[in-house]
Amino acid sequence: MLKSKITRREFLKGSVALTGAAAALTFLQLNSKKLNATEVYTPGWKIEWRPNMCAFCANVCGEVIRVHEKNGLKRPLKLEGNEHDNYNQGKLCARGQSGLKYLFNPDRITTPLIRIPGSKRGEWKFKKATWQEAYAYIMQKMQGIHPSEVIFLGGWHGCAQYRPIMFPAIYAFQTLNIWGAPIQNCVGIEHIGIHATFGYFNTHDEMVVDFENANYILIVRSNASLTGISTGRAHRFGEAIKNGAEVCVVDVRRSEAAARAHKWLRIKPGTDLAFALALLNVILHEKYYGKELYAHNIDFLKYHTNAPFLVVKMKHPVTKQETWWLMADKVDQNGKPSPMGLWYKHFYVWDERNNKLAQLQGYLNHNKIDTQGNPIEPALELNEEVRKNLLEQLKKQNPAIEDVKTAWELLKEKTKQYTPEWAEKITEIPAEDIREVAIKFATKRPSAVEPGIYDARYANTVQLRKVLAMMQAIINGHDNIGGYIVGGEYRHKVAKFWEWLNKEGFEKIGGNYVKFPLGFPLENALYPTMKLPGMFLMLDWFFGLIMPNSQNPKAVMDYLQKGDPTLLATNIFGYQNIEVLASLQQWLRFMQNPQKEEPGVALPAFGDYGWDKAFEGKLQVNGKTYKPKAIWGYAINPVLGSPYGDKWKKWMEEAQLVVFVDTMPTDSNVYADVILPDITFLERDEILGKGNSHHLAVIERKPAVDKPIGEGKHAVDQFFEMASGMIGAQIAQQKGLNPMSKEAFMEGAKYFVQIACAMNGWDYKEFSSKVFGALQEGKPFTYALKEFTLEEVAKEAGKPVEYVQKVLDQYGVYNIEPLEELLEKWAIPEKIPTSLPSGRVELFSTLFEIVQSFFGYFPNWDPLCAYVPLRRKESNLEADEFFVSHGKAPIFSHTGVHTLDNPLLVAISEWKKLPEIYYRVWMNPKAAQRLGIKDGDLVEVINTKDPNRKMKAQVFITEWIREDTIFVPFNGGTEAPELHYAVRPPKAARHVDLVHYEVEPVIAGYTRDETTVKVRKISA
Amino acid sequence: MQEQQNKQLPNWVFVIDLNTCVGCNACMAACAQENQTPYWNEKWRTKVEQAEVGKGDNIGRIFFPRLCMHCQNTPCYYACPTGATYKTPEGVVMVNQDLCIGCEACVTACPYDARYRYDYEDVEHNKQLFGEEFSIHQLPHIDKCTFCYHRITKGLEPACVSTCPTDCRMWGDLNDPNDPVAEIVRSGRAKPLAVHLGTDPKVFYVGLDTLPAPAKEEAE
Repeated sequence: MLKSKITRREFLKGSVALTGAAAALTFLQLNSKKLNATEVYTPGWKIEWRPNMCAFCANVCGEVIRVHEKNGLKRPLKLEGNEHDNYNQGKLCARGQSGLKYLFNPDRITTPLIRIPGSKRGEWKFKKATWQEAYAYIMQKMQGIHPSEVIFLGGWHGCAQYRPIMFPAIYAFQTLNIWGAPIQNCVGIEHIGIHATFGYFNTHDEMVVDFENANYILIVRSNASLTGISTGRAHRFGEAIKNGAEVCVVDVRRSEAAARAHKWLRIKPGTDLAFALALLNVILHEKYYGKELYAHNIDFLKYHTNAPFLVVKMKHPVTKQETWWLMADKVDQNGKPSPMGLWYKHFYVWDERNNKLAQLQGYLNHNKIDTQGNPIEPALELNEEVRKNLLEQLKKQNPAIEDVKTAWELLKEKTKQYTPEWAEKITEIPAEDIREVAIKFATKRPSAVEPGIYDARYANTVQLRKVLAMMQAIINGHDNIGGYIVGGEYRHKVAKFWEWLNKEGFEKIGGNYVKFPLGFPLENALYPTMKLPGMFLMLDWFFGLIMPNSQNPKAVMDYLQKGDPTLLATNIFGYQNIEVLASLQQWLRFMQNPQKEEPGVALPAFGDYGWDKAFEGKLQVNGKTYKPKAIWGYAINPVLGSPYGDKWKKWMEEAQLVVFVDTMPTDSNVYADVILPDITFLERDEILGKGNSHHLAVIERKPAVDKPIGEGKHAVDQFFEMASGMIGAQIAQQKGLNPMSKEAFMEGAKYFVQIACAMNGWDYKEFSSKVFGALQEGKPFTYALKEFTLEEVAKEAGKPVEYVQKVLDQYGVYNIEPLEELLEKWAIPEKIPTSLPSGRVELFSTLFEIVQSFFGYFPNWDPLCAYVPLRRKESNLEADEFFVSHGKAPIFSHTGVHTLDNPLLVAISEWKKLPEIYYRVWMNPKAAQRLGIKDGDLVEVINTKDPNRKMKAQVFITEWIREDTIFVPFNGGTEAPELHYAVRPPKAARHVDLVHYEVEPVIAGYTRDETTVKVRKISA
Repeated sequence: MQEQQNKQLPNWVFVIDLNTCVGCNACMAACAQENQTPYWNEKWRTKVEQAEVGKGDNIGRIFFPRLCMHCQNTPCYYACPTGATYKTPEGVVMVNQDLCIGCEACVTACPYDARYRYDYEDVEHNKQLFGEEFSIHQLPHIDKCTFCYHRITKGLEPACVSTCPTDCRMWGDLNDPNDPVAEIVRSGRAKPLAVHLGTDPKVFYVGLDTLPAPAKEEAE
């Protein structure tokens, strides 16, 4: 099947196709017409192709730069998609194509800037400075500021591209008050339901759906991740349509994806969870030609998911709510049996082969044997006699157990109520349409549901994505053609971790299960934290760095009995993260008064929960006010991207020090004291992993220009220098050296390199010799990092360094091992486990169960599924009142001003034949007529949940949107004074001004569209 | 002899599959960057129009990519008084910048609105953007799509085809019996616009017949 599919792909794509057979050899020798061309335009214009990787969005598409040479002059003139990158397969979107406009944008920040003394923040009064001056200024201002008083703001750049260095830098700074913007805004809230089911951190593109080979595609409120646009996914989507796939899009508007749908369901905004639950209801309860809809996939469900695991009904030890728990031998951090333990040593199933209770290994990819190694046959459903006897047996051991089922049975029971008829009333989609979609999804296999990013956001998003992920698992399994396929880099990490566990890890852990942290404390790390795959990395950071005392009984008792969260919230550096502390304090208030108080947040790390309290002096710890003093931002724009946009202005005005690292003057860094110029991706020289490639691959970036424009410096070099400088200064003070001396810096650098090696599992001798060798030659840290990465890749691939370098020079991408071979040995969970505590695909989420054991039951983290009602007005909207939806335009990137201020992209959006649809608020003609609004009229839009949140915008009248809803495009309107191409509000809507601050309780995701708005005409 | 030579030449066709265009505008950006066209003055060699079709629950959203049709029966070619508009041996319609006097006869003659003025101001602006040395527009002239002749003659696809994320834009050679894109044309699945004009275009569309009525009429 695999081979034939590949052949079809090859046929359709001509020269771009990847060869399946004899892959290891021919694979790299792809005959690229692009890269073989030596002349384009007129004769005599020699060209040189330089590989690169786009960084306008987190899809990071592989590209090549066409640099022309004429009369001794060189100039990059064009970017092209790199055919060797398995993700985007030679394609680039409009943003990618306009990359060179970013490189040469005269608005760029090209030297370090220091705010002129006496000027106000926000005025853009800066003087140019040298790096030395800027660093000295920062170091001087940082004196006396404790790491707990520093907050760090980071966008996706650091997290997705530079984790191996950024996280050691954060560790070295001891700064754990971090706002990772994508967590609350974008992929975090959107993907946690998928993470909980399959175990990857899909946020980092660890899975790309194989649409190309799917027969049925379901897209629920997911335009941005596909056609809004994620090039590699859109590419597969386009091929799918050509191959005859049927597409169903559920969206309140005719999005780009909905335009391509065979069936478009114009759902009532925010009610997608009811729709998804009804799909699951049909799939689990209805029959098709006398057969269960999931009948074909029973083996997968039995052997590779935790569907057959036994669950028992018991009261929560603290909240006394009745809830369901996995029946498992839970152990504490030390591996001792403990009902409050977080880790799962064994699970249980009913073995139909031997008619007895069977104990299963905690971390394993299948349920085919018991802990003794005997073959078993796990039951998906119990017969009543077995249940009765089992319950009696269990009650004898633990009288608190009230009932027993398999997870599968419980899932079926829970979904019984969510009938299509029930969903019809909520979603306004006819029950027969829901039934049709469910049946098609289940029968037109392979079928796939798009996981989604950056569209409208509601508190129920977490459960929505979990339900859809379960549906994917129940019908299509995992890691297979036409369905969900993980990237090569992630798969490699899982395989290496699994290898380690079997070799020595299980022995070190003390049983065949997993527990965290494994990477902390650094001195006693069992496994390098940065090499942990998917969700395990998150668990490691959470239980190792952020809340290392969460498994300390004293901390838990202090919290539950004395109402003191201090110890529980204490991080590895001995202070409390603002968001963790604020959240635990809120949980205490909630427990005392659940009727009046909002709940806290279960996993607040990397969010901004409680930061308003901290900045406003209302957060207390040990009787002292906890207030941040310094703000650092890297490639982030909170003023345009956070619902606290306006507050950020104030907070920055009041801070002692504000430092931003960026390429462009944004809405936010106008408030900085110091702006340090980053270089663009088109000026970088580095080798990076290619996470969203299905093949195991690395990619190279070569600069488009021989010298960076201006004085800019790679952010990674800056973080290396800042970390080394600041640590060095501390060490120097202890040793009585001059803190600004080179000697002090080298001491700091040594320490930083040690941390980086410990966290990444790198050889200190090798890495440090590269780093200090480079420094001695006056070369930057990133030079050493590239050399080292090259050697690591060569080692892993079993090839000489020269070979790897040659392949990268020639192709830009080194595809080390193709998908077909990876699937043969490392299919997940068929061959190796998932990165979830059970190692299986989890329908009953252990992660959500862990959260439940801490905070009690909430439908938001129901380990199986539950309906989460919307917290907004549902009916009887007034004449000028609307639901609101929000999404991305394919030509811009979120809040990134590098695309907002890109003259070519602005020209496309302003082209008169597109009536500014990417800037204006969409309104249905019937509603417009009712309110006397004409196309292009200026209106004010006011949030009914918080009337202070409002924006002015122009109206685009279209039937592409429901009558009861307006659609607001992403933040097109920037106010940054130094951007000369970008469009200002109200010509471009500034969505951030409309959004109220409200979060959901799982990871503090913004529920920014969970409200209604009023629209008032201002002028024609 | 002449016949033999023709056999060696490709018979290029440009195919647009309307069923897969998602209106991402990558083609517009790619073309503007590749061909240094005056996007700053709303001038594009290729563009993707969007339109609402239908009513109410059946409202559709159409993305309609457009470019020069490279007609084999060529109205602009006949209209050009100076010979600036010419056809390459393969039938690609081009403008010789040195011969063009900017009279706009071709602009009027073109039934597909595929030509525009590349003004003096545009030339100067372009030189600023790309540098004097690397500007490919040295004189004011009438400008249009060339099928990226400088690329296709070097074995590359036109810039817009090469980047089109959903492969809505395709490039083929009717003289190649194994070319799957040419096969789409040969099979009759792809049709040119406004057949009744007799222009015999080299650009073909898949999905014209499934367009809702008003859009279909406009296209025809």
